[in-house]
Amino acid sequence: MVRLFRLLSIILVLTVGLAAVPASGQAMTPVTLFLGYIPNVQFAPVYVAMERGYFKQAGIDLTLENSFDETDGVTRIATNKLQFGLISGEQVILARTQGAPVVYVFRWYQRFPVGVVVPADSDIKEPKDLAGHVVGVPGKFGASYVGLQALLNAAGIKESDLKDVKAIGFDTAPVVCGRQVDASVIYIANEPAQIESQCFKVRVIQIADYANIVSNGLMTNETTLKDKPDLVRGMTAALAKGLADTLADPKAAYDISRKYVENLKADDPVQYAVLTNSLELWKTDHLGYSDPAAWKLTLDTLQAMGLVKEPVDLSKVFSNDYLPAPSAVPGGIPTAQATDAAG
Amino acid sequence: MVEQVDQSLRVSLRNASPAATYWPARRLRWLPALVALLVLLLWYLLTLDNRGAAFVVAPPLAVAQQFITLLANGTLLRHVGTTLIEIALGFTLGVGCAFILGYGIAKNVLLEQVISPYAVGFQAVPIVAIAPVLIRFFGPGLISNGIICALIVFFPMLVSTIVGVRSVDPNLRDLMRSLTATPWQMFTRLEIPAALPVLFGGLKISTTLAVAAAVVGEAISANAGLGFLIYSSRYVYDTSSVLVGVFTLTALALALYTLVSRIERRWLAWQQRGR
Repeated sequence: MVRLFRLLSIILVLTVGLAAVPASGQAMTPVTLFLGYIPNVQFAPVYVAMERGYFKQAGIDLTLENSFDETDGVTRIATNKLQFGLISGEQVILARTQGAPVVYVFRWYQRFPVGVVVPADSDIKEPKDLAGHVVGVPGKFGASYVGLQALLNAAGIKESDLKDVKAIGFDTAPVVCGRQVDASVIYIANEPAQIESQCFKVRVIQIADYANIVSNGLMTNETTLKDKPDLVRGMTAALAKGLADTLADPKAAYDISRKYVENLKADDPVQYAVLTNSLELWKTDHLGYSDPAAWKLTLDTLQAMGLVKEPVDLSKVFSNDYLPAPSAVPGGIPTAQATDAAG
Repeated sequence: MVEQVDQSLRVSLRNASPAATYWPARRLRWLPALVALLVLLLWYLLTLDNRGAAFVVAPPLAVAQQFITLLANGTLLRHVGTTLIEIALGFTLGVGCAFILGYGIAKNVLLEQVISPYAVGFQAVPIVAIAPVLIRFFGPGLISNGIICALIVFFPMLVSTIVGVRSVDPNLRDLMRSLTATPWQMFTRLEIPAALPVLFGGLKISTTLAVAAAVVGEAISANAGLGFLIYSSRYVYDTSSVLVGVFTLTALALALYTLVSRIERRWLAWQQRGR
C-alpha cells in the first residue's frame, strides 16, 4: 500500500512537473517592439514597464529594436514580420492607404510634440504671422512637415503664403542660430532648449494648441489583433502602467532609463528636462485613448496635402477596444491632474 | 624638337599601357537584355498575387504607369534636373580639386607627407557628421548637396591622379628632360597622356559615385531631386514612385558612365590604334 502510494506520488509529481514546463514556456510570448530613433530618455515609459516587470506580468518577453527607419518598421509590422511598434499616427493612415493592414491601438502622445520655434524678438507671434517668412523643416515630408501643414491649415494660410519652406535637415540649432530661416519646425521636448543653449532665447508655437493631430502610439497589425487579442491587451496594459509610473515619478523613470540609454548621466539637466517636457505631451485621464476627432484632423491634413487621395475608413485605422480601463492602471495619474493637463 | 618626339612618345606610352584585352562578349551583347527580361519576368510573377501588398514592392506594370505619369506631369524631369545640377557641381568641384591636389602629391613628397594622412582620414568621416556644418555655412539645398557630392567623389579621383602621374615611365621623363622640355610640356605631352588610362578609371568610379552621392545629400536637406523623390515617396509607402526614382537613378548612372567611357575611347584612340 505504501509502495503504491509512493508510486502514485512520483507519477503525480512527474505529471505536474512535466505539465508545468510547457505551461510556463507558453505563458511567455517573445515580442519585439520597434522604436523609432535611438535609445533615449523619451522612451522612459517603455523602460519603466520593462524594469518593473509589467510586460512579464502580461506574459510578454519584450525585446526592443531601435531604428531611424520608421517606414521599414511599419512595413515589417504590416507584413507580420514584427507585431508591435511605437509609430507616428499619420504613418498608420498613410500605410493603410497603400493597403497595409496596420492598426493603432494605444495613443502614447496625447499632444502632437512638434512646434514652430522663432527667436524671442521675432515679430512672429502666432501661426498666421508666418506668412511672408522663411520656415525651415527637417524635410518636406515626415511628421514635422505634416504638422506644419496642419498648423497652416488651422491658421487659414497656405504654404504658398510663406516666403519659402526650406528643408534644413534634423540639426536645426545651427540653422536657426545662424538666422538662415525666420522660423523652424522643431521637436518641442528638446530642440528649443538646444537652440537656447547655443545662441538666443526662443519662443515656441506649439502645433497641438492649434491642430492636435495624432502622434506616436502603439501600432500592431490585423493578424495579431485577430489571433492574439490578449497579447495586444497585455502590451497596452504594460505600456499604460509604465506610462503611469513615469508620469507619477519622473525621477525614478529617469534613473531606470539610465540602464537602457547609454551615456545618460545621472545629473544631466538637459536630458531630464527632455523627460519632464515630454510628460506634458503624455498626460491624459485615460492613458492610450485615441480621440476620433484627432484622427479626423490628421486625415483631413493629409488629404489637404494630397498625400491621401482615396477615402479612408478611420474605424479600421485605430481602435480603443484593447485599452485597459483607467482603473486598471495602478499608479495612474489622478483625474484632477489629468484635467489640469487637458485644460 | 619636343613636338617631333610626340608621336614616338605616344607609341612608347602605348607599350607601357596595360595589354589590350580580347572581348569575346562582343558577340554576347544581348545577354544583359536577357538578364533584364528574366528579372522583369520574375518580378512580375512575384508580385502577381500581391493581395494589396503593393506597399512592400510595387508590380512592374504599376511602376511603368507611374513612370509615365511622373514624366508626363513634369515631376520626374524636375527631380532629374535638380540631381543633374548637383552631380555636375559636385563632380566638377570634387574631380577638379582631387586632380590638382593629386598632381601636387604625386610630384611633391613633402606635400604627400603633409596632406595624405588628412585626405585618407577625412574619407572616413561620415557625411552625416559634415552635413550640418555645410548647411550652416552654405545653407540647405543645392550648394550643400553639391559639396557633399564633391566630397564623396574626391577621394577615388585623388588616388587615381596620384597613381596615374606616378605611373609615368621614368625613361620617358629622362627623354623629355634631355629634350629640354619645359614643365608645361612635360605636363601636357607626357604626364597627362600617360596618366589618362588611370585617370579615366578614376573618372568612371567618380561618375557613378556622384550619382549616389547626390542622393545622400538629398536625404539630408532637399526640396527636389531623385533622392528626394525616393525618400518622400517611401514616406507615403508609394513604392511605385520609389522604384521610378531608383530606376531613373540607375539609368542616369549608366548614361554618365557610358558618356565617360565614350570620351575615354575617343581620347585614348591612339592607344587602341597601336594595338
